[in-house]
Amino acid sequence: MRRMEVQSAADLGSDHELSCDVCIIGSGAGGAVLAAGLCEQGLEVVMLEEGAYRTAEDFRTLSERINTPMLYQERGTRSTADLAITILQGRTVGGTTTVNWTTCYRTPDRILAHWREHMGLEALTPEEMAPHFQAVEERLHIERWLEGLVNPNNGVLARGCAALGWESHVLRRNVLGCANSGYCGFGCPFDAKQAMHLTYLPDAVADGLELWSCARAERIEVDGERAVAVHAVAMERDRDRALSRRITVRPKVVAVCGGAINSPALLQRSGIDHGPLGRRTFLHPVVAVPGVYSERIDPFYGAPQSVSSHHFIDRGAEKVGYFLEAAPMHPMLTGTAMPIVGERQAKEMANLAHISGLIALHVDGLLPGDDGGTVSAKPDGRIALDYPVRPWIREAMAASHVSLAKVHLAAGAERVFTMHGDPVELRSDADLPQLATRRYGAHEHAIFSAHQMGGCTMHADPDQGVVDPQHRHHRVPNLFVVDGSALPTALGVNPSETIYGLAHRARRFVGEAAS
Amino acid sequence: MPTRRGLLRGVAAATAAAAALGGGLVAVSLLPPAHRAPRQPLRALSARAFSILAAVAERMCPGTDGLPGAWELEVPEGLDVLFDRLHPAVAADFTQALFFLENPVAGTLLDGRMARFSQSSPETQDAALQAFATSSIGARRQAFQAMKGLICATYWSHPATWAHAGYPGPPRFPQSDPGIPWTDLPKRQPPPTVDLGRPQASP
Repeated sequence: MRRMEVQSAADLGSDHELSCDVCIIGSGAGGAVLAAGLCEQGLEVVMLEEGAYRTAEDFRTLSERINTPMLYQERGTRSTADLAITILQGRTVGGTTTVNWTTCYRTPDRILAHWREHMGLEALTPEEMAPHFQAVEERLHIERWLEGLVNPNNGVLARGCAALGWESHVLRRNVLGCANSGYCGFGCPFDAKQAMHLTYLPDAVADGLELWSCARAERIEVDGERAVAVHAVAMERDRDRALSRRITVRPKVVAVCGGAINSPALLQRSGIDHGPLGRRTFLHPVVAVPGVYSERIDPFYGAPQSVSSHHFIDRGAEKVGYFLEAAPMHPMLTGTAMPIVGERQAKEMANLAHISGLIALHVDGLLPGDDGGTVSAKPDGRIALDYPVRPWIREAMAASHVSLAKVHLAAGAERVFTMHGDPVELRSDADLPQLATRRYGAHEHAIFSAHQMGGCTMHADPDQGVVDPQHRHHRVPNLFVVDGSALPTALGVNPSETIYGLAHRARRFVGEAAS
Repeated sequence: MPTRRGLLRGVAAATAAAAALGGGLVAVSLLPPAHRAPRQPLRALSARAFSILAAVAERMCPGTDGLPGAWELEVPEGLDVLFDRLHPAVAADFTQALFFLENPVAGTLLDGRMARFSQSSPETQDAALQAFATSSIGARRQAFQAMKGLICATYWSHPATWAHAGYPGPPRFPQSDPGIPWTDLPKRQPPPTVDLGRPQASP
């Protein structure tokens, strides 16, 4: 079990003041990769992480009731302000990489092309990014999963797509010695998932990183056009309550790496308003359609995601594309997602071991005028995420429901049902037209997001972006944003490797600014 | 959590309309809910909010043959503990959602339900929950989502519900030996062999 030295602000007996070359706020996919590179360059780096440091020993309860509040933002209750979309996002040392489902893709060429054409990100070519992706793939052991280890839940997607003649593929995962247990979302109990707390963060700590957990950055102090200090408060380890002790870091350079919800809110709290800060927030909004099979699926066991279909990723210039994946279905997540309650819910939950949960993720932010959602810091310290589910997303959700139902039926499901308050039930293709009798969108059915992107969008034009193509803030040149919040659009693939790769590329820019 | 402003707006509108019809309903709304005594000291919720929560949880997760209900599994107490770990405003917002559902004024005006939720029959309670779930009023749908999400999460995460769901539970780790090789652990779940259909295309 790989452990590292992590300080806890919760244990501080008095206020603490530090100076360094770079202060990194957030220890997830962006912050960890950046920290390892900067420390390797010999820079003095301090990292502040608001979550606690947890390891496989903590994860081994494998209890949704214990691990979800322990490892997720807002103890697992984060959602959009209207409660229509459930937000899954990590809050611990390692960030979301500690709890994600390990799916890794390079940024698709067509997305990079879109960014070059519409955001002026001329440098972001596949050739520019390739060495960075290659480096993180080697460090994180990102490899294609073995077909023989695909679990029945994902096997449904592969089998259904094959029967329909639709594209599907076995995807790549960042694991080493995976037990195929199915508990990635609880924090890997085997230390097999190559999350940040096992890879880049220990690398950085070995090279001198000073890593503080339970330290919430409240404000970045700016003097003129320079960030001069980061003011943080100690947090209780097990409660979302601030303690009286404070940490002040005085760095040469600040790198904000708190993710697409927390990073824009931090800049807002700091009064560093510039460009579309807190706007253009994208979620890959997810809908789920379960299918019930005669055989056991055991959707709670086995690698959570191992198959994907991008058959509908490009639906033309005027429609939102989507991709299909599977989602693990443990009892708590499933019971929470079901829109029905009472005896009807109990009856459906009795089928859980025979249910396959397929999902569609919708690629927001690519159509002209699709500005996604907004993030705003509230006076009481919380963050409001607003995401209107607009007509073009609703159209795609209606279409993806049909696609998911077809996959299930082609794969041999006895029954398919939707996550509407009054679910549609289908037993054959003849029932597919019933899906058109329902409405789609917020509060019509369950919607989720595990991919938060944007809010500090990267754009070459200072009027249209928060940071420039080198992640540097357009108004405060010693301030960088290196995380999912810098993404200008959604990706059409799971975003972790894009963030790893961009952070790997950003090492040079941040390092030069601090030297 | 529902936005407090939205919930308060909904409750205020219903109360004002009821006052216009007559003061009797407003007076009813001020009576306490059916009392349910918590089995451990409350940390975040008031006794009034706890009693309403208990009534809601019992209808959302009533249990069936062999499946214990939410009250038996101490779901309301479990949620009180969770609220104690969250930002204090979350419990305040959730309490507003509970009061919104409990309110007989809004119930009368919108659903024809004359009694408080916690003192209504199970059938009336089910109808009230369904009315909230499908309401055209955003604050009611939000209140339903807030209650459903947290109650169902707490309920179905309880090991006593797993047998009903056909979930054998996670692999167990001997606490005394955290270094046990992973290869010895997932014996209850051998890697399955799955027919993937014909050869797959690459992306």
